[in-house]
Amino acid sequence: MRVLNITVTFGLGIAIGAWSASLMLKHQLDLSSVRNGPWRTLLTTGAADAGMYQRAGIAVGGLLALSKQETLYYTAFEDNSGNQLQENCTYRILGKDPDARWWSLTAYADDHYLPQNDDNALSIAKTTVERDDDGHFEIMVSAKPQPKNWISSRAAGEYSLTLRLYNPSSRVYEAPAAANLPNILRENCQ
Amino acid sequence: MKRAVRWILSIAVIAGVTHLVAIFILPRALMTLIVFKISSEANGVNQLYLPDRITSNSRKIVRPAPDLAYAICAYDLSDGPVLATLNTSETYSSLSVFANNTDNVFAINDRAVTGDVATVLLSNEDTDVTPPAGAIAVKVPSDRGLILWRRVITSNADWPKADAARREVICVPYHST
Repeated sequence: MRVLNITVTFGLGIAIGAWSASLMLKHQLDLSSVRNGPWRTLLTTGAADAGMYQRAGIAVGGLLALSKQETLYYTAFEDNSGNQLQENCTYRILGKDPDARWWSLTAYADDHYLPQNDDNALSIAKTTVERDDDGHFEIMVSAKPQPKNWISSRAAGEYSLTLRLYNPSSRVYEAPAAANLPNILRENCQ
Repeated sequence: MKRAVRWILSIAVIAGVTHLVAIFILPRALMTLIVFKISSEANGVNQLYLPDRITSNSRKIVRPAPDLAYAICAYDLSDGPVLATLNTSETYSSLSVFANNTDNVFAINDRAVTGDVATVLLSNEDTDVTPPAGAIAVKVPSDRGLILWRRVITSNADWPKADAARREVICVPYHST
């Protein structure tokens, strides 16, 4: 009886501890990030002064990420209206080049890896995006092919978008909530 | 009643300890796993590993960037310092060093390279070493970790150039004379 009691006590304790740790990690970006419209960024990414929860959260969702002066990572799980990004919806991403030496936009499935599809449309970057005469771009994220600036979300399920800014200007990493970032607008869902 | 309170308190203490240990260990455990994977692929530590170009099937490290060419070296400083280099580049490229707790302890990009190449000498905090002339000395808080090179691929046509550029970097044990 005593052995059973000890087993149950340890089992429950370990299960609750592991569950609460995974819950904290899941919401780490929510709790510690700076928001900019639908985008969020963690300023302590890669930094030695990151707290242990932030470090663990980054290890799970952004291992080997660089510090903010080198690269700033903005991630969006939702569109501008606050709806979760989903494979069965089409999104129009409107904006101008962010203030950085180079940038790229990539879709990731909820397991933090690239969507398992062979569409060869994994990302759009500063050097591949097509812009209009005013320098604005319109990127389409959808499961179906688009005529230009297409990122495929096929097989992504509920996904996220990561905007990487390489060598962002100091204006961006000193005030990441005020940076001029693209809007994510939902077009239609099936 | 007293017994029930004691039981609940015991569960709370075990849960608290498990929670903290999991959060503390996770980054180190993941890093240890990646260092092991990379050193296995490279046939040892302090050797360069050149992964295939990133595709939707790339699953070694989370959130890989498909528009970057990577080179990786799993370093081990227990037998002495390690020398690494970064060449100049027409586009963004960088060398970054990660300790075994995932901290990005050092990074340099192509804009900071003077001349054709930047040389970085990694050593642990217990090693007293004079770096070669012009080299940047970097003290790392752990014996093991990763050096990661990134080079932007500006378009599909740029891949051969990016691939060639990452083959020029080095990661070798350093023996001072």
